[in-house]
Amino acid sequence: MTNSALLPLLSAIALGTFLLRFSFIFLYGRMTLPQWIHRSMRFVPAAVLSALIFPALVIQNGAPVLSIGNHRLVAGLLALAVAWKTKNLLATTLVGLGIFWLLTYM
Amino acid sequence: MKSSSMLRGAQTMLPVLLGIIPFAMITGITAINTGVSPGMTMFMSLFIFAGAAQLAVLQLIHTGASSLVILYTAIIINFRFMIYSLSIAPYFKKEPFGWKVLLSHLMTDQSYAMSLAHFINDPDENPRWFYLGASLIMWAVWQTFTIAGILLGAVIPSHLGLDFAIPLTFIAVLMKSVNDIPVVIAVVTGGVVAVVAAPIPMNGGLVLAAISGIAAGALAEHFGKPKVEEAAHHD
Repeated sequence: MTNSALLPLLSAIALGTFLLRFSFIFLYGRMTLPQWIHRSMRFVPAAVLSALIFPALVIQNGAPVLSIGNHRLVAGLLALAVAWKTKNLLATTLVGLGIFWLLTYM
Repeated sequence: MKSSSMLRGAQTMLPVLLGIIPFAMITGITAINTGVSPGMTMFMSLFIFAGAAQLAVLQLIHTGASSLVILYTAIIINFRFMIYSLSIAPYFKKEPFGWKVLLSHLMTDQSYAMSLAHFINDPDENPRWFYLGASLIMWAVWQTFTIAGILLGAVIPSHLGLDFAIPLTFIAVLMKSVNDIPVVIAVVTGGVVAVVAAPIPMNGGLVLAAISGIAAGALAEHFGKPKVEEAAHHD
């Protein structure tokens, strides 16, 4: 695909992405939502982030790899433990990357 | 008040930036290696401003997918922003239209999740300025290191696995919102469904996993603490 052909496509993606972000920030107050939706909202970050994290740790070349040979999984789980214990963002990322490199290059 | 809220927002994001820097660079590098021009690469970073979708788009351009498939994939990956929008909307309900546009466009996984966790813990915070501070620093770092990636091109070897910094950043951010059992259930459900449903084409698994996780958390809360539920019923 040439770069000139990309412009309309990328513009459409940009517009669509904006509308998704803007949707309820704009609509809020103009419509009433059921209480159960409001109560469910606090689970959004946890559920979505988790759905982004675990495939990135587990899936390799299209298939789940649940073994100690999966360096991303091992490093990710240890980072999860660090995050749980310390609640420290920097420590979590550094420990995870450090362990990943250690496993990969030793 | 404004500036102190903004500063707090920006400071909250500092540890997260470590994961964003390689992510932005990889996005820039990948774009150039895919044959996308520096101008179009910056267009993506400025106007799409969503790393996971940008990388998926580049991958599909590389494999020669049709425009329709590329558009659909990007929208599905970014569908989560609509749920974020819904959950953070109450904090921005009094903002004028222009502010809503600006705050919406600057939304990222990290600035959203960190801000929401902060608003819940600190009801006295000024949401507009805190979120603006958190989002602007993310935005500035994202643009700067996209440019760095464009300039570096293929200099950084991909085998360093720097892309691994992103799930690690998400892990760190995730912990900010884990504060009781129903949230843990949402985490476990979202993660397990995402892995099991990964073969669903076009990233359908991500949407399914997000909805399952949210539903599981809500159900666990509903059935786990009926008395608290009733006590809080007058809200």
